[in-house]
Amino acid sequence: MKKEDAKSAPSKPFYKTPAAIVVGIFFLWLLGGLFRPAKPIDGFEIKEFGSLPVLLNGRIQPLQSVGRNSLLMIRGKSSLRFEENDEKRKIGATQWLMEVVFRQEIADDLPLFLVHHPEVKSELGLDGMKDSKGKERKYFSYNELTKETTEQADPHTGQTSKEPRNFITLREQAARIGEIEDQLRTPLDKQFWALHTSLGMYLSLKASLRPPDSPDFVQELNTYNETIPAAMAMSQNLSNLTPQQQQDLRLLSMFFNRYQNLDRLAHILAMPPTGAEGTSEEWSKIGKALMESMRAGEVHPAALAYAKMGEAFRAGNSATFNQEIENYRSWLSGKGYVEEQKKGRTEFFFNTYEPFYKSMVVYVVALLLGVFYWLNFNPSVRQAGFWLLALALVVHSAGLIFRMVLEDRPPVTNLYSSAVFVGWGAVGLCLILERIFKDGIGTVVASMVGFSTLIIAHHLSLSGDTMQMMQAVLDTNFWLATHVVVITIGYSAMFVAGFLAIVYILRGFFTTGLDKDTAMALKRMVYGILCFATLFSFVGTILGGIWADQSWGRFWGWDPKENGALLIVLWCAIVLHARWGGMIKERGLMGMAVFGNIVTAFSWFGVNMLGVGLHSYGFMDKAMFWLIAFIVSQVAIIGVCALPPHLWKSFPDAKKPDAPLPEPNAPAA
Amino acid sequence: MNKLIDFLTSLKLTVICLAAGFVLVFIGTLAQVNVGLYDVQTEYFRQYVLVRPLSDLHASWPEFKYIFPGGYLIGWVLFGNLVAAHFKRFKFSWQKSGIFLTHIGIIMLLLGQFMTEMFQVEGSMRIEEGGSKNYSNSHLDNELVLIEKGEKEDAVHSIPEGMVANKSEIALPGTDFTISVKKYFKNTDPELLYYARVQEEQGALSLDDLQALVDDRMSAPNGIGRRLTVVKKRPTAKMDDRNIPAALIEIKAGGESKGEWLVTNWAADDAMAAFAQRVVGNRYANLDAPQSFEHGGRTYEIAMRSVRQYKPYTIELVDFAHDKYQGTEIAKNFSSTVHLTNHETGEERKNILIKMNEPLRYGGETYYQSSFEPGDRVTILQVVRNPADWVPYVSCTIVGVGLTVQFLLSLGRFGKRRRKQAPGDDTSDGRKKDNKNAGQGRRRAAKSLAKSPTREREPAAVPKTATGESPS
Repeated sequence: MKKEDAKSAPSKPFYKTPAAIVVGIFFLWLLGGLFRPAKPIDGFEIKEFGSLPVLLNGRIQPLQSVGRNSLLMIRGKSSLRFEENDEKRKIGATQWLMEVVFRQEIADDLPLFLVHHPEVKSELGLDGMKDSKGKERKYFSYNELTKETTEQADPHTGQTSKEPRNFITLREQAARIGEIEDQLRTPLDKQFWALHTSLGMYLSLKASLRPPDSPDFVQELNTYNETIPAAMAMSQNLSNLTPQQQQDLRLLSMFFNRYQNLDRLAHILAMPPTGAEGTSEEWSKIGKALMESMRAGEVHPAALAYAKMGEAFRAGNSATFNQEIENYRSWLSGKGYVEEQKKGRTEFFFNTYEPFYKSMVVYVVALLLGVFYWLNFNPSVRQAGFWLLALALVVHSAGLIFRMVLEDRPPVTNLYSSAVFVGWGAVGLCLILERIFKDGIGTVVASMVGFSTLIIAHHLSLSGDTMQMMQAVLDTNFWLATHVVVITIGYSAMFVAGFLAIVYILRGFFTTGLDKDTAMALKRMVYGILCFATLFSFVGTILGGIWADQSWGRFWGWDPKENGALLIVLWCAIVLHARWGGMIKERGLMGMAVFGNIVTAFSWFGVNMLGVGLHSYGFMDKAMFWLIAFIVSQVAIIGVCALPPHLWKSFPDAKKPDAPLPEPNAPAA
Repeated sequence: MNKLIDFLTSLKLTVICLAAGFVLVFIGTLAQVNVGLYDVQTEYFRQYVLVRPLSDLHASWPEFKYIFPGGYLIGWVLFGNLVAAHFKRFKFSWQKSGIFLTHIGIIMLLLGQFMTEMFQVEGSMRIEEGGSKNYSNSHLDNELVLIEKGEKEDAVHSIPEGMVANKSEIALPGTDFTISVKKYFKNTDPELLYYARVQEEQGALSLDDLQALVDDRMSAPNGIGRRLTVVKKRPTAKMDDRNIPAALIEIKAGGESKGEWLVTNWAADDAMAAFAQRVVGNRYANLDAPQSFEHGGRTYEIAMRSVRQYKPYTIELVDFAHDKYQGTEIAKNFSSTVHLTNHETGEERKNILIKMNEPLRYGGETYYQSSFEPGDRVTILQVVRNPADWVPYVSCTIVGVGLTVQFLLSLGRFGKRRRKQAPGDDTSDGRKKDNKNAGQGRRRAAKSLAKSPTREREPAAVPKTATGESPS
């Protein structure tokens, strides 16, 4: 079968084969993404607005990232898809954020909040609601959540006000659940908790750029602006006030209270420091900026700019909206916020291009091609897979580099980025293997590992901003760049070895496709990659010890994460010594390499869940479920591997009961 | 006998040791949840043989005890195996230089770790802004001290907590004092904290709690015991928590009673006293004021406190800083600015900055920014003395170089073989060459060629032809 490959390969250069077209299509797709500008919607320059810089989570980021991360946390998706009047609609993160911060009356009707637990639904009066196809609905709008209200009496003033009934329910539930340890919460608790958090986040977003109840914020700010100088003038002399001055003073205190409340509610720090005397030297929320405006003598220019954008957006006036953004940008540039704007644009591009999503798609196609190659051994198919993989790796790398530039950090800073990086490392290693061995195995393993790690990363990203600032103890680029990167490459190598072994076992046992050459090649790959994994895991673990010694005076503290790393090193040492001592042969090596997957998964995720795993009663965290599922699958594969050779389809010659041969594992004297 | 030596130097023993180590680390990690980090270290890793209940690993498992080799046993056997194997079988060659280096590094690492376990002294130093200290406190060890105040120097009699725990009559050598221990609790809460904790946990005090208050509480008619009542608490195993013991003791001097006293770290360690005061307010102010009595014209002080490690120098905290990222609660930086004055040499160093990842190294000790107290006025420095702290650096470098060399050598051989395997070159001996990678394995393969036919029975062990693809 292989011979075909060799024979036909020189006859026709790859670029003339039909398979090359597939590569070409994906190349154009990936390239096209670079030049596809974010189109204005109804004339509104979404891109210009979405890339405006604000401060959140301690870092400068574009408004689009704020919208995107909020949507991911609230809804689990980076955009909003829904049906309106039997028409499918999709709203992007920036557009959604614009509705939330500027046009609450529209945003409140969008089906945003995920409620799927039946008990939560009935508790909140959301049960029985069907969509147009008659299916139970999962997503509900703010208005649907808050339609029922209850009269509430204020204990201090005695005044009654209306409050949504569900607010009270959620508050009570949250108070109850807050007392329960994370790992003991039931799915019901978790849903209530998530909904409570989402609702809180939504309400603060709504108050982030304008007061939700203002009929015309520009006018409001103008009135405020006119009151400020009058108030400043009389602040010297409060005893003899004319009726007009008294009126101004009342107005001013009303404004003050209003903006104080706004500050408490809001979420985004959107107002850059103006440098004016008596104002904050840090980015602030709009409420605080407006309170400080009193001292500065004029309304914060950024507040006014956003107010103008908002009113233009509400009026549907795209020309004014775009113009106001441009004005605000030139003000920003005038104040020296050039880097911030650049960062906003870069991150906007990064978010829009979605490099990790794109490479994920290409990995899937490469996987299919790789498997297809094993069915027909057409060399051009293999080459197409190889080149697709290379393309995906380029995009994957570009994504990593973008993140590094945006964060000004080494590639791995948290669990999310470790997943991205493990995939990257694995694909890189496999690409080298494929280049050397040319048998499609590298492609298949690369795309499997690349795809799965990116899926894991996607799920990790749902918990919020993936570029969060580093805790003080981790704030050292040197150790992040050495220890963390090296140990993560070790993970990659372990998974590559493990998945190569899986290919060996599955192909060998279930198909006749594992001929001797392939088996031999696989054995060499697994062995070589294991050596590589040993080197990196060991060096990485030790570097971790040195970091610990540098930072808190203990080279080794036996803490779970350290132990996890040590387990990988020990496992590698066991496999290699067992191999050298002749205690295991080819199948043994493969089985042990697969077990390496379990060890690595435990070290990577398991140790983080230790407390969860052992203290949870009747409830399992989602991640815990997947970890256990993975471990079970690996054990099953090892079980298959342990079956005697005569049961393997690929080893028809293997003798049934192994004739008692002199075992070569007695140590040589 | 030869067989035994063979076994002791064999790779099989290496693998057995490594596997045992693997299992030990794994169960040691699981057990941390129930047993706590410190106890796991002493009961699992710093042991020759461990006998532990299964319930360590999972709270709901039975108390059935199992036996397993401990860290020291595995470490020493591995060490012996490694050294012996090198003497017996290992002949140096450039091909194996990487493996040789790796093993030397690992031997050093094992020895260094053992030395660290034996000789490392750890403590912490808590300093308030403007205050200074010339001692650090041990994390784990407590002592009962009787201090005879002198004009220039105090004489300190120290009794380890273990002796107090035995509740015996303790005669202080060289004095006519006898201390009899009436009550001893390994871990305690001050009473008000106890109320607060129970109420927080269950909303109200139950009858059982009240009963516990009668049985398990301790106060005294003298000194701090008139103001402070401590309540027994379950001993902790958590890493970030510690046991705070208390004892009710009677002091006798030459048969004459000097009264019953309450001694506890709550009333001696400034950190404990500050904690109690922070949680329950002014009632516990100045808990750490000394408790003293007179005897024979001299003043004596009595206290239970964590063991102090005195230094010949004083460290003064000038400023503690705790920065956060804008608009978040994420800590950006902790740092302490200190002055250091050495009384012996007269050396003075001003404004030393100690921060995360940047410790102060002085006089064989290392000061790390470890923690702080709410209010950002008090720093807590971790103080470590480890005479073997350089070993890991050297051994790791050696192992790193060794592994890299070996990996590159293998890679080089692999590359050579692939170049040889150009079309037409039918290398049927891939198996043997593969063994070259394998250190000891190679020699055996070369020596016992007679055995090699049996190996061919292994599926796919010998490639019939080189893979057919063109290596372009």
